[in-house]
Amino acid sequence: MTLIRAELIKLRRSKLVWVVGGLCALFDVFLFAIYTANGSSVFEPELLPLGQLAALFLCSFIAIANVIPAVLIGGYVGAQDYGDRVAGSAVHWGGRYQSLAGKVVATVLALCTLVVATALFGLLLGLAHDTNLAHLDLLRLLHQTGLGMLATAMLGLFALTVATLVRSLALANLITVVTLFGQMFLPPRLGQVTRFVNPLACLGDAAESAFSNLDGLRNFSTSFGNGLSLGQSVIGLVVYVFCCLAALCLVARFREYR
Amino acid sequence: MAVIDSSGVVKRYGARTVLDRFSLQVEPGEVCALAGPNGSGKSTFLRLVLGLARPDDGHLQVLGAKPGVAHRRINYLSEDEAIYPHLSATDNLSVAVLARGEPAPKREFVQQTLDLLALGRLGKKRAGSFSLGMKRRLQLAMTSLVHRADLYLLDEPTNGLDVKGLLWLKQFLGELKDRGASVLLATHALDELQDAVTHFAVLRDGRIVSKQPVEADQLLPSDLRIAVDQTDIERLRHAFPRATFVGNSALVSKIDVADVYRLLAASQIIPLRVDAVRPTLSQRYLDAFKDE
Repeated sequence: MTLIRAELIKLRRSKLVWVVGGLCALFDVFLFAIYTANGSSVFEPELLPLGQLAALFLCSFIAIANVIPAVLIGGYVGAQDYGDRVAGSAVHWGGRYQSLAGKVVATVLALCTLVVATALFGLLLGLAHDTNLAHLDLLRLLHQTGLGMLATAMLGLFALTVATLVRSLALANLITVVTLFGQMFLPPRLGQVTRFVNPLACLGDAAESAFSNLDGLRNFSTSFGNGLSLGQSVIGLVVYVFCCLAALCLVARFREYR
Repeated sequence: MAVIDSSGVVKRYGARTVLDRFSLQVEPGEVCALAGPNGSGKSTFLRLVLGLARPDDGHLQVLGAKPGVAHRRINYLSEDEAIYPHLSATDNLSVAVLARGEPAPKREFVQQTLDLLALGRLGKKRAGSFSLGMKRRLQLAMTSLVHRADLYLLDEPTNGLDVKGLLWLKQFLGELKDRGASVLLATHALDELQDAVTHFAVLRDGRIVSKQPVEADQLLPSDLRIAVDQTDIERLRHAFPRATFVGNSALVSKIDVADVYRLLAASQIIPLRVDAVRPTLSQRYLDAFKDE
């Protein structure tokens, strides 16, 4: 617990985290501006109940924006100690496995906080248009927030793993981004295999159904579908997490600090 | 039982053998200075003791266990500037405590610790903006003051420290010695720490070539510096032809004190001063490399 707190202090005092948070807020403001332009029907209560804007923000966050905080924050937590030349001391203080576990949990907590903030931001803006709480489908919103946390945390875990392996923030960001976006340029068959690096490939159908109420929004479509059953998605996610944690455990076990 | 018990330790980085059948024992209450040329493997050995690196061969036990097992009983000062530059001094201390799995330190404790190293007024300032010496003080606080340990591994602790910092360090080493804690410090500042260390080991070509108690060094025959009046200088040259002369004084070595006085009397020289010149640790260190 105290190790997580130590990591969170480091994160809280980092400019990068606040800049990333600001970028995400800007992204939401941008979305808001698009969907309120020219008297859009997005906020008409009878069509789009309260919580819709939160869902819209969350959906866009999972599909597009979460790459920025997940890659940057995950990479930062994983590589920062090497950049500051504190890695050896930090491992000595906390222990090999414990210090890495602290980093994983702190990254997940930071990214989940960002997802909750995105949902709350959308909810607050939604309240400005529709104050009828009866329109709020709380269960669905929680479902969407949970899904957002899962997708973002998985991506953050991947970035943290890469950063821990390469010990450099710049290199980690480069590798993570190239890996995530490089799949698009691979031959279809190879792309099918490597796309599972992106957790969305596992969450596809679950995300599709969670955000189905957004279908029909002006200029907006949810297209997460991946053709995997829920069981296959769960297996995919478990394998994803297992691979990341296995790589981190190997680092914790065998890495030498020079 | 030795706090650090190593024998025949070998550590290679690629084709380069850094430590080659390295053997060193550090006993409880010992403050041992480990000296050696740059790149001779001092820091590598400290990292092996911490379990941050693994030996390729040999036996190494730390506090009766494998390296890394008793990490909470060890405090380690790295030779690097191992602080979080974007955090304040206060936050750096808090992180150092929390990262050890201990509860968050109280504000008064943090302030007292910073005051002890003359950093009290800089608690809220970003550590990255500190001078080299201030960073080193903060690092000393983070590694050695916020946690009580049985073994202290200090890698170049004097780096960047000013006179007051150095005096504080010597006093701190004395306190550790009195408390019965063991200290292994890798350093080049041998003469500065001469009074603070109990033992002195020389690392050469990847192995320990000598380890002696510093007290014993002081009991060895000393050099003598004889200062005379300018008019007596020629007679002094005749009396001590092998001495090294600087101005109106001569430095004589490896000679019994009684013989010195006998020769002075026989030459009818009345010395202005006769001082014992204690061999410094750096002289001892250089002796170990005489054949180079």
